[in-house]
Amino acid sequence: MAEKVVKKDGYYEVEPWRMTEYLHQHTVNDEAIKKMHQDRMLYLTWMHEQEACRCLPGYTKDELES
Amino acid sequence: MEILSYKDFYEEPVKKDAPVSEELTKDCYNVFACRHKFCREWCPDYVEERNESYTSYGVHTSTLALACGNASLPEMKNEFIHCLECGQCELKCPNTMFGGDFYHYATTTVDLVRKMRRDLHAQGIDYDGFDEVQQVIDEHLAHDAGPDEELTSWAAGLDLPLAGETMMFVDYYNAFQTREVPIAAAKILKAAGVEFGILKHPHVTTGELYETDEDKWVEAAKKNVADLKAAGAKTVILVNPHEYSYFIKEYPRYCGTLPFEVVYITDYVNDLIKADKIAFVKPYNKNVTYHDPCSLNKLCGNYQAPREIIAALPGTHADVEKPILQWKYCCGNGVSGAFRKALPDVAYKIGVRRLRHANDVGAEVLLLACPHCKDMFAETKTKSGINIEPVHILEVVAYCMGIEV
Repeated sequence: MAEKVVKKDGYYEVEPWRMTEYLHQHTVNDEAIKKMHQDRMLYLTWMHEQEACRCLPGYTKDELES
Repeated sequence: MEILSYKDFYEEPVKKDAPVSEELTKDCYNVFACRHKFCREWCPDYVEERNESYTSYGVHTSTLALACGNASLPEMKNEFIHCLECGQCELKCPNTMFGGDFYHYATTTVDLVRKMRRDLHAQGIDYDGFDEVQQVIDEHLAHDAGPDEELTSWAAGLDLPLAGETMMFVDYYNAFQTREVPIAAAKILKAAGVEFGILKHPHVTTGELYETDEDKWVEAAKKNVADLKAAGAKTVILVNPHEYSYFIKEYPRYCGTLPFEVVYITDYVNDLIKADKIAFVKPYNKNVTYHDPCSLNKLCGNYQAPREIIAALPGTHADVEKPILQWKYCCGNGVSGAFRKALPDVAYKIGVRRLRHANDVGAEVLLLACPHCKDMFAETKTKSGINIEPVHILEVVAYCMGIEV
């Protein structure tokens, strides 16, 4: 799959011809794509913050050496 | 800005004695095959009712059941009314969020729900409580057929022209039920020196009609676009986020690229504040929080301007939750309003949950940017007795400017 993608505005997209057999691409304009990027970044940033604050701190150097 | 994401094959109606199209079946499999259930976690309706049939997963599965012959259309009459059309499920669906941009194939639950409600209605199968929704539709159609003066009566004494490069579009809900919102908007713009006009006869835009009689709604949409163009509009300011979402997501689909720019009132006012055209003369010494309207935050990804306006209000102490955390909220009204009419008890519970969250952050005032949220929260506050005041953000801006609304 990796060699069959195109890069647009810094994001990967499938080559349209690969979406002609089973599912067909529907109408999605650039603004809708931008909104998906924006929503994804919001979500991933929030997830990162959530998970990062829940992570247990690692051992300190002293603890490791004791 | 025009956000277009729709599937042409939704146009083909689902009928009682005809097979469901192959493309729609595959589309529903796309969600049915998912086990993430991200759509379920934050669905305001699921949180209250705990019934998976009403989530995005359930809606697609029900449609798939029709396709596979495991269910009949009349059995589905109450399946599709439990959706608020807030859009949380479709934007959080991995098919959209993690794959939609890659495949150019996303989940479009709101569209599917509207389509199924429309198809069911076309075959005489209406959900319980539809009579009240039909009443709203009839009222709005009567306004459309009524005299021009009635539609612009909210602007009496404001001396607004009926044409101009900047036009403010006022829908019937604002014009008849929450007049204080367009009045505040008009007074703010006038005080900031903005020259703008209003339509002599705006046509019907109500969402209930869109999911019942698409042709009539589209006809009105085309008239609105033509009238705004004829009035010389280069910028159209919307004061209702539901209509804003229709203008940027649905109108271009039926009317082509719009011949004017569409701006939401909070974006416009925020730009005026930044350009120092709005001067605040009074502080608003309250602890406030802000509720993102679903149609603005989830459907259109527009959440920045209200936060910047709140930050600029003098004397205001604000604790505003992040836009992503508000994906799980709704006031209970829903984008089309049919939900609240058909399921008032569930709508109330959703509203109470949101008001309690606002109470938890210690706010005295819940600021809003949507007239429907204001109406819904006002009702919920009265019924529940939760001590928090729902106020439209434009009313606060006007107050700080020393304008009486």
